[in-house]
Amino acid sequence: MNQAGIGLRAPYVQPLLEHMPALGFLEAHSENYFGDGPARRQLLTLAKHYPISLHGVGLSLGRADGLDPEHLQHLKALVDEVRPVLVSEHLAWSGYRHRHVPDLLPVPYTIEALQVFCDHVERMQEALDRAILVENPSNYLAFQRIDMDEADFLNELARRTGCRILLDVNNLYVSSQNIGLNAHDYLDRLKGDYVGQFHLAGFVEQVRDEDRVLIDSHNQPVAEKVWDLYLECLRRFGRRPTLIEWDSDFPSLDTLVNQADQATRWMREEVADAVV
Amino acid sequence: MPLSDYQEGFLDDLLSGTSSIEDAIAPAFKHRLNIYRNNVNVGLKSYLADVFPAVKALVGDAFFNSFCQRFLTSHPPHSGDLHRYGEPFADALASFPALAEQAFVDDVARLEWAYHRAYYAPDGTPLVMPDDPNHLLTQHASLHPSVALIQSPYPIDELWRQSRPDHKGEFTVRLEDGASSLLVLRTISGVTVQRLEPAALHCLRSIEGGLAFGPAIESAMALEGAEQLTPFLSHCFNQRLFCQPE
Repeated sequence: MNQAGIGLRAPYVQPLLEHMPALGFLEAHSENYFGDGPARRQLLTLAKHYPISLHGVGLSLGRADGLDPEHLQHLKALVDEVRPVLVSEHLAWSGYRHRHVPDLLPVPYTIEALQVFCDHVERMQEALDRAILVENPSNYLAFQRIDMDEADFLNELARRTGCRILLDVNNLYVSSQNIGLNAHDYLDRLKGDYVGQFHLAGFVEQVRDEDRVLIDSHNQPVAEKVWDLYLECLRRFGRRPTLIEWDSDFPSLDTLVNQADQATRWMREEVADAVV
Repeated sequence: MPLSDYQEGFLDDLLSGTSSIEDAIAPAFKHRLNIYRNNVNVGLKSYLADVFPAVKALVGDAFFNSFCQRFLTSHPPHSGDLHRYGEPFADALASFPALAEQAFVDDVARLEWAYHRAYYAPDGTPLVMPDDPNHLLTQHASLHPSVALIQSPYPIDELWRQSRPDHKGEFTVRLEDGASSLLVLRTISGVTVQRLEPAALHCLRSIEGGLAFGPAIESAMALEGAEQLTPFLSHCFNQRLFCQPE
C-alpha cells in the first residue's frame, strides 16, 4: 500500500462520500462503531470505496486482569462485518477490574507487563483470527523501575506473538522530547520486519511551572521534525501504510488529504525498493 | 510494585484522588501525573456534557461541573466503550438533595440517556404488517432495541428541546404544562422523540409485556387517545418499531 490514509472522523463522512478523494485507506476508531447505529452504516458504505483500518482505543491490552470478553465480542463482530485491512491497539492500559478511563495510561516495561501484553495480544489475535498491530505510546513520564526499554519491549512482544508494531512517529518524537528517549537509537534497535504501519499526527507544546511538555493532541498539522523522523523511518524500514491522524479542531478534508499526499509522495520518491 | 497494585492505585488517583502511585514514577516526572489527571477529568466531563446537554443548560455550568466531579467518583465508567457511560446519571441526579426542588431534571436526564443509547442500539428484525388485519390480532412482537418509553409528571420533551444548544427561540415551556409520555425510537432518518397518548403508551407497554396485538389494543380501548390507535399502530409499522418476537 503506497498511498497514505487519513483518520475517519464524523465531520469527514459527508465530504468523503461526496468527493471521494484518492486515499490509501481510512482508519476508524473501533469503539465508535460498536452497535448498529447510523455511524456503523456510514462506515460500511465507506468500506465499499476505501480499505478500512480499525484502530482500537478501549480494549486495554495492558490491564493486569483479563480482557473484557464483551468488548472483544463487539470488536469481533465489527471486524467480521467491515473486513478491515489492518486492526490495531495500543501499548497502554485504560481499565482494570471494574473501572475504566478514556485515556491511554502508561505501562512500566517490566517482565510482568510483557507477559500480560503477550497473553492479551494472543487472546485478541485468537478471537479475531488475524494478526494485529500494537502502537507505541506518547510518553510523558518515566518509571522508577523497568526491566527493558520500549524498543526491546515491542520487539519481544512482536517476536513472541506474531503481532506487528504500529510505529507512531509523532509519539516517538513526543517521547524523545518529554523523557529524553533517543529516537535514532530507538529506530536503530526496532526490528524493521516487525514494523507494519506508521502514524503521523500533530502535537502541541505546553509549558507549566517551567516544565515543557509536548502533548500528543492530534489537532495540528504534522510538525517538521516529525516529517524528518518519518523520512528516516522510510529510509530505514521502507514503505508501510501511513496514516495522518487528526482527532479534534478538525480542519477541512482538503487539509488532511494534502498531508496524506505529502506522505504518499515521500513513500514513492524516497523509497527506491518497496519493502511491503 | 505489582502491575495490579499500580493499576488499582492509578485509577484511585484519577477517579477519586484518594491514592497516589507517585512512588512508582521516577522522581523527575512525578508532577507529570497531572497530565493524565487532567485528560481523564476533562475527557469524562466533556463526554457527560455531550450526552446531557439539556441537563447542563437547566442546572448551569458550575453546578453541572461539580455534580460530574462527584459522579466520576461514585459511578466510574466500567467499559472500554465510553459511549456506554452515564446510565446511572439520572438516578444520581434524582437522589441529589440540592435538586429536590427541581425533580424534572432527572427525568430530562432519563430522556437524554435514552436518546444517546438509541443511536448505538442494535438493529432488530422488523415485523412486516400482515396483509390480513385479522392475522395481526394474534401476532406477538418485540419493540425495536432503540425504543425507550418514558413517563414524567413534567413536559420533559419541551424542556429538553428548548434547553438544547441548537434551540434558537425563546424558552417558553412551563412546568404547569403537565405530564408527558414519550417514545424514543431510532428510525431510518435518526433518533426521534415522539409524544404518546395514554392509549398508545399502554398498548406499546402491553405488546412489550408479551400480549398479542389484539389483546394489547383491547386493553387500551378505555384510555384517552384510543380512537387514534389504528393510525398510530400503522405509523409504528412504517417506522419499523415492531420487531420479530424474541
